[in-house]
Amino acid sequence: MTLTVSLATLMAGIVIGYLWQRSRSCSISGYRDLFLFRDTLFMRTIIGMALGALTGYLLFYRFTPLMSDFPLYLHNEPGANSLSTLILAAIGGLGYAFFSVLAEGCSLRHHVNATTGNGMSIFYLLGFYSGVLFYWLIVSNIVDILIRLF
Amino acid sequence: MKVDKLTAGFFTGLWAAIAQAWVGVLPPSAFGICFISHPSDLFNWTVNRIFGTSFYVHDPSLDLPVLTVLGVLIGASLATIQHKEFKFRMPRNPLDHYLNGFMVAVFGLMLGYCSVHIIMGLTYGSLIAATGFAGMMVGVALAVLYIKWSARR
Repeated sequence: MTLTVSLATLMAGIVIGYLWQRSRSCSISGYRDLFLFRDTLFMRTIIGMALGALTGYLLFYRFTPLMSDFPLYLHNEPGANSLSTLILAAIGGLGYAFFSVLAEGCSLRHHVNATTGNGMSIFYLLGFYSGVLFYWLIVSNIVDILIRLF
Repeated sequence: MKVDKLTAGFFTGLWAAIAQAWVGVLPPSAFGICFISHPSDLFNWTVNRIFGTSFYVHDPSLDLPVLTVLGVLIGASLATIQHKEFKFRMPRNPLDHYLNGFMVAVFGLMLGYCSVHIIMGLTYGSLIAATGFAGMMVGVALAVLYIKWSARR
């Protein structure tokens, strides 16, 4: 099963990487351009993702037990009744979006752009993976303490 | 060959549903694609294997990691090579970009979602994703105000 997951995610990743490179898609520039210029071009990616996901979830949830918790808010979502989790999600979302707008793109877009030789994305990814290491070494412990306290 | 943004987005969203329904990329639910958790899982899984550490990985990556990141790098490279678009461009302020990437990873892991995954979470009806999305909209608004303020200076 895990080999299936690895191979399937690899294959899907190849298709998604190709499509996102050819379409110059981004999942954060849509909001930025809408707020900054009232431009909706990049919102097409976000609308497409929402339509694709909703179509898939609605199609599949009747036929597979793996989607028995759809929609999640009606099925006792893990962590959703904890105020500290919701506060962390709000702070995390705020910080993620703020720095993504300053970085001129979402993390998926930078992975794609790095393959074109874009130095900005290459330095972004160096910082990104340093941040992953920093989070699991330091920040995750602080987050755990905060969740236990509140 | 140009691809429409709507098409790229639609396939990405549909894959998230297929990944859960047919491939079994869960728990958590709506985890079919994430460019915070999947890179973190691949990175942590590799570090754990090499150095014997025990950094956190999600359930689907316990034995073998999800390879979405590797796939995207391969797929985007194929498109780049096919259309002869590779050209190394050195940025003017590399440290700024490094710090932006660093902060995105830290805040993204705190949230547990990226801006792609959060759309999947929202459409799946997650309250945590909805809260994170509200935070994201505030973050975008603040960043836009900051950009406008910087431009006026």
